Amino acid sequence: MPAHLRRRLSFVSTLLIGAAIALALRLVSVQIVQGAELRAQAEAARENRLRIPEPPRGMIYDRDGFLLTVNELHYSVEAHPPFIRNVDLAARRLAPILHVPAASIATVLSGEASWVCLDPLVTAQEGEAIQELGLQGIVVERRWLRHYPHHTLTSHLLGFVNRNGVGFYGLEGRYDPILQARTPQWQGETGPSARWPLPHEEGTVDPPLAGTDLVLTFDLGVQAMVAGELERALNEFQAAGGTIIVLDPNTGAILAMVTQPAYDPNHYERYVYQEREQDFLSPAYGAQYEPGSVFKIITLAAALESGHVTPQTTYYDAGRIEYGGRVFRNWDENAYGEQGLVGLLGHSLNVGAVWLATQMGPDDFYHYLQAFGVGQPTGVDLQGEAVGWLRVPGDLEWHDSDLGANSFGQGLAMTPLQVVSAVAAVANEGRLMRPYVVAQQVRPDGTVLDSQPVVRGQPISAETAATLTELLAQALEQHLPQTQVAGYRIAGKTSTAQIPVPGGYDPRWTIASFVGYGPVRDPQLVILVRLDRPQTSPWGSQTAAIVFQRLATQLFPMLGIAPDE
Amino acid sequence: MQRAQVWRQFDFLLLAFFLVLIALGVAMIRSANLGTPDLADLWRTQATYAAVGLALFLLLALIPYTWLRQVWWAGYLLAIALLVLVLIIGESEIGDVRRWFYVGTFRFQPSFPAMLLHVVTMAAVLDEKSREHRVEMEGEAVGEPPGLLLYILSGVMAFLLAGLVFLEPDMSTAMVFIVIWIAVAFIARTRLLYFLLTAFLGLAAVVPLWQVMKPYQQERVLTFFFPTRDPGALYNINQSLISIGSGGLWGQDYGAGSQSQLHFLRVRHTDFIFSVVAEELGFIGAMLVIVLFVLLAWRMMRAAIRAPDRFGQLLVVGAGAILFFPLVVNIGMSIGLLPVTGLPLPFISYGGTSLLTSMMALGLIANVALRGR
Repeated sequence: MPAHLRRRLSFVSTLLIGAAIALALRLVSVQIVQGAELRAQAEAARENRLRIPEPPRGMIYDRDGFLLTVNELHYSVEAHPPFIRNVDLAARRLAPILHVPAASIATVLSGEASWVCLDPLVTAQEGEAIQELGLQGIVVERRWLRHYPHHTLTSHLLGFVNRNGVGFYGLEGRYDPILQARTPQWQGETGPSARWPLPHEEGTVDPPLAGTDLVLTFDLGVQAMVAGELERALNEFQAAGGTIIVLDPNTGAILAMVTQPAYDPNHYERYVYQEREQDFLSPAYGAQYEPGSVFKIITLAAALESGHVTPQTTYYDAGRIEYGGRVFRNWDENAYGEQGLVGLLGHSLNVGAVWLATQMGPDDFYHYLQAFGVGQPTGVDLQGEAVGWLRVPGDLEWHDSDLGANSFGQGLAMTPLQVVSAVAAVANEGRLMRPYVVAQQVRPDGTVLDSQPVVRGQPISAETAATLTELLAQALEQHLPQTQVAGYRIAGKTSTAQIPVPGGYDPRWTIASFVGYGPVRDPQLVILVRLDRPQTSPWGSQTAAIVFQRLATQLFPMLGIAPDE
Repeated sequence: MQRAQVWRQFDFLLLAFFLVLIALGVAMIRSANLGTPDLADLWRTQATYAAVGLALFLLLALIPYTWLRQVWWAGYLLAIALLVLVLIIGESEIGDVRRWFYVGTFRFQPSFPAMLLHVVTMAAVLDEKSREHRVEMEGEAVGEPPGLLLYILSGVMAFLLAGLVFLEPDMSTAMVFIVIWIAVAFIARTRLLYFLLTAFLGLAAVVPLWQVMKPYQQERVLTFFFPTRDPGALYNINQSLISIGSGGLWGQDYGAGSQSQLHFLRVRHTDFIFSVVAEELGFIGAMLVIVLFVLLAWRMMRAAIRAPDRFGQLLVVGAGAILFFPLVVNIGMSIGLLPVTGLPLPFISYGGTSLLTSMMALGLIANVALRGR
């Protein structure tokens, strides 16, 4: 073989061997040197959660099965720009559906991002229209939008669900974990579009599960009627706002809870933009106030239970009483002379309340306050409950004079729900119940979990409760004829609370309220009416008491409660 | 030649090496499609093609290759006819591309058998002078180098076929035709000056050619050299590198490569089959493939050196170009050394036409080896 042919054949051999060596070296570099790093990349890419279109959130029904929530099907429109073949075409077809100029869509789709959200929320029709376009690289994902058909009527009870499907406040906040649909959390190795598990991997995938439905103790019919009466009262008494709570004292079940002003949960963003998030807090359980005279019920309950007074006890009302270096006077600064307990309640005498507290002394008095749940959360199954505020002996800021002020509901703060729940204990043979809203949880598999009433404690005995109820009933009969309900004997107490401001109390405004229950022989309803800053009259007896009478008159027959014989 | 002698000379090593490669390929095709029900049976199809290919290999190994010299021009005309026909009635699944004939469920890519005909043509044309002036030197095959005229003629013929393939369009396969021509001409001892002139001409032609090209053609050329312009290709090459890297030394085991089985790696059973091998069988498996090809190259070079005449020698080199150029390009692409092209990995990638062509090319090599000294 001639040398030059040999050289050429050798050259070809060298070329082939050289190529083989180059490939082998590169393999060493990729597989051995960078192997661990690339393996980590592979693991990061395939570790995934399977995303299955979310089933809808659990529904909320009132106790008669009326729907309080609606789930509306919407879609989000998302794009994976690298997979879009013809950006201009895609932009032109999407523009009329998304109501966005094609040019701006095209700009977004031409960007560097591998994923962009074109519209977080389009209607069901728009979403399905986009799906039918079948554009490669454009996907629509199901999004459920929570809608509240009763708008402001139920907002403080229900709370709301934000655009990301997370519940806030009220029931939506409190029960968010179980209302949320359970998306399967299959975690493992999947393909790039998260659709293929490894063929040799046998993952167990739970089927998607809708959220748990809630059936409430709440009655939409009662709520609507109560809301109408509150509206009427706000106009009639020129009040700025109001709260009405209707409770079954035997169980703590909340039948109605109306608040004004209320927000519209369907447009919760507006309140966020306007930085009015405090509107989301319910005045009924999320905000506290000085309850005022209604607190005398608790003071008297404590005095009776601790044996310091009996129904026959009288005291001498001098119009003023000094305790802890502070002088307390009656609301009209008059002296009422010799008074029994009915007179004390009927005239709502602060001097009498302070006298009761001083008879007991701080130890007994605060023991019973705490037994009634003052200063403690009620444990209601609603998110955003305020705790209230109570200073007790031993606290740094407690002062002897607080004993006097507390005895008629000043110098401490409670939520309306705390007040109504404490009074309900008197109506319920002395048993303090946990107020609650959810009667049943209906799981998607059909199993039903019934709520059981919870007894939080027994601050007073059944006998004391009966005695006190009788005193309260007599006080109303003798002093407040405007509260009387035809056919039903009722018990209750007015309250005209001053509004604390820095340095004292607001001279102009009051919070007028009334808490009552009936029928006395076997109380079935407790109603709290609170009117904020009424203008026609500052007194609870001339405003809130009248609203209570109207409500009770309608509610007893409406709820099938037999009249007294 | 006696029958017994025939089998004594037969290159059983060559046969053994490529049978191992094909078996490996069939196994890897099966693994690559484990999770794809539509394609799960492709490995059986490939195995069937391999059986047919074995028959064609033996046929091409045993007929006297000198017969091919008599009919090379008919072969060349057939190649042109096939490549013209595919431009007229050819189809493809990927847009406006005319690369395949469809006959029922069968698909046939004429540019691959055209490569074989092209090898025979190049060997015959570039060895034309030796037909008249047969030169023997110490009993070895020595041919006259082709003159400028023959060189130009062969070049025009090669570019004609390559041009037809380019029009399909299939730029990478067109390049195989040019590489075959260069390889055969180089071993035919064409003067290096001619190659230099060709390279110079080629460079000079780049600018005017670029200006003549339509924008979409320019885009295609740019994407060929800079595949990162195409996000799809970039994705594929990144996933391929991750696959190969995750394989490590020993691999993730057969059928258990996460990148392959979870479909991160696309075109697994065809273009990126090497990445499946490297992921599931590791560095060891990948090197096995490369070593087997080096052993095949050794048998090829041995056949070329011992060829009884220059025509046979050129046949071997041309057939070798059909195998080794796509091999280097394919693996180079998989490991990120070379641009992304659609050239299959011979013997291993799924594809009947490619497999049959590779086996027939080896048949030619075995044929010359059989008659070698």
